[in-house]
Amino acid sequence: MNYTFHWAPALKAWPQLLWGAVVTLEIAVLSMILGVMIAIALALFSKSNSKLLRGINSVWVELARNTPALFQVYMVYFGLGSLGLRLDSYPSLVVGITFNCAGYLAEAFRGGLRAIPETQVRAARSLGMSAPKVFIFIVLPQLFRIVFYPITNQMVWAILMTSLGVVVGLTNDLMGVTQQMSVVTFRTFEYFALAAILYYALAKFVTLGAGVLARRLFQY
Amino acid sequence: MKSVVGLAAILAASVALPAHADKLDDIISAGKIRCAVTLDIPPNGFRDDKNEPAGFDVDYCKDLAKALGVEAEIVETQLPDRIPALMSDRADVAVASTSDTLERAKTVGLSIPYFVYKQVVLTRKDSGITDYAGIKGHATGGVAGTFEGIQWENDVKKLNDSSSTYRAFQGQADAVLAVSQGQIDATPLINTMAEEMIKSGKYPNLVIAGDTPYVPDYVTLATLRQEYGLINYLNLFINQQVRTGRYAELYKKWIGSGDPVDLTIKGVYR
Amino acid sequence: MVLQRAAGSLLDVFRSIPLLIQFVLINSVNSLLRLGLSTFKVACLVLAIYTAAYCTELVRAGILSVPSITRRAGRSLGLTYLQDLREIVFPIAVKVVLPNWIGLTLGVMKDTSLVLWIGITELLRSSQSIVTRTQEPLLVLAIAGLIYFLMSFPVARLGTMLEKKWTPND
Repeated sequence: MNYTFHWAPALKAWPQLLWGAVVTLEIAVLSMILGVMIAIALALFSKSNSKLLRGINSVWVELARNTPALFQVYMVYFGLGSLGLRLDSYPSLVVGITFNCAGYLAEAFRGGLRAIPETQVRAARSLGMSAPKVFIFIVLPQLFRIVFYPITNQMVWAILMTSLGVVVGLTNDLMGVTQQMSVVTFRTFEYFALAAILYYALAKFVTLGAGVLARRLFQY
Repeated sequence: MKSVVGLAAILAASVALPAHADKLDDIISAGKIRCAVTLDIPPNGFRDDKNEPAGFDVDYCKDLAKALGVEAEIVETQLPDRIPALMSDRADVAVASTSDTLERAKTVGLSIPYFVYKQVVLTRKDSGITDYAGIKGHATGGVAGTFEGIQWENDVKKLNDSSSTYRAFQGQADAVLAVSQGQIDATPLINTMAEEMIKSGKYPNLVIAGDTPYVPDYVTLATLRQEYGLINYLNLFINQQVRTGRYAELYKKWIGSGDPVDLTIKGVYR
Repeated sequence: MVLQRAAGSLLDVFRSIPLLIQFVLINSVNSLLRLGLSTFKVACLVLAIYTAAYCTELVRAGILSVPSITRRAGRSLGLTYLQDLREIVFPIAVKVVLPNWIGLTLGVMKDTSLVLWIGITELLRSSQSIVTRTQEPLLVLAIAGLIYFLMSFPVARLGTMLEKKWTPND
């Protein structure tokens, strides 16, 4: 091997990398919150009688699922710019990941909605609950239980997807910080190895956390 | 245990045994030199109307190949990818306007300068930026890890003002596109490319808002740090290019009329 | 058992690190160890490991979807373990796995866009270089998106169709 590792300077960058990981988590959480809300709406759209709403659902879901996430993020930043819709790197990445997550989650939610028996809704309605109340108190809690696993998976994907921000100029997330350091020093392996460890830790943190949460929430 | 040590010794010996051939030997025996060239910085490197690599750097690589008596192979790389291309053995030499920073010299071997740039401020006509100081309060960006990008970012950080921001792109084309699309208002750019762009008429909304205050950007040919044989060859090659008038010829062909820029630095040896 | 655990957590690593970083790391390992693989091979290798990491999960889920009663019934009728896998587990599990496997394949197809990072010119990278020349990002990107869509959508539809057909009536 014709290469001597320079770990010392790379390890000195550890605090910056950690901050990058915090930003990464922030972007993922933000995109997931927005993504889940939109996904619920899309799932309801798919059951609606309105052709327009059903159309919106299917266009969104198909576009999100059939084009690469990298393409989506790039399109939000550079493509929408030509339409005069200029978003900075951070919001572009959030919009891109939200778009992607909403598309995938909408399908999970749609399946989840189907699994909740229609009779429950009718029973609640006949007890005098309003339709929104039924949705919030009867349907949603069960829905979340059904889609909990897909949401956890999607959260991990959201974290991995934040790494795409680097193509639209983001410099303060984990991938951005790593790339900045590696292009200045050209010590690609050292910095990316550290980043890989941090991404792994983030993903583990989410799956383990979700496991604990699931045991707390769903034990009955 | 003994046998393990013995085995290790044999392995170590077998690795060390072949006579050491360096990169220069490898290139000559392979009959081909692979140059990492950046093709989004016209006129130094770009794709022509037939989508073929062209420009100052491409010709420079071909000259180098001719001097070595081998074929030239152009490996297209984005600016931040030049050195990784060398390290991952996708290319033998980077002929891609690599600034000779001390940070880089820790990892790669740099030749004497083969070209020198001034860095200018590229902005949109409607941005209201007229000079380098004018970038305060604007969203700006550059190419990750470049000489000008790093200095620009440091200066933006020194402004310590939340509305003055810096974004790092992974290619020169993306940074210019972001200025023209309006995601950012200004970017540092090498003078040759900025002038070429304005001349081409393809970017009616862009202007050059003066020079940056950076020292001249001396750019070098880069290869692996330990390849002294090749680095020596590159240094002599650059010297010969100037001596024989080929440098002036290429300058005239790609950059424009006038005297080619001086590659020497007054008051110090290299 | 130990081997199972080790394999499981190793594959988990590949599912928990961004593909972009895996490309960069394996690419630099390739150069550090002077393996001499082309970037194309590196890209294929990374995608193969990544796919394997997900595929293992799918196959596992498929095998687990076969009720153990069914398998025990098969074994007690005198089937060998291999016969049980081939004649009982496979036909049932494949119906569970195949739709997801199609999804995975499409996922990998889309993930190929990331190889531009290690210097391979693919669909997205060539669109970028066309954008540089034409300065028409929206148009060029829309065409690139359409190409991805046309490659992916029909296969995705096939997956959904199979899933519907094979899901037990509910």
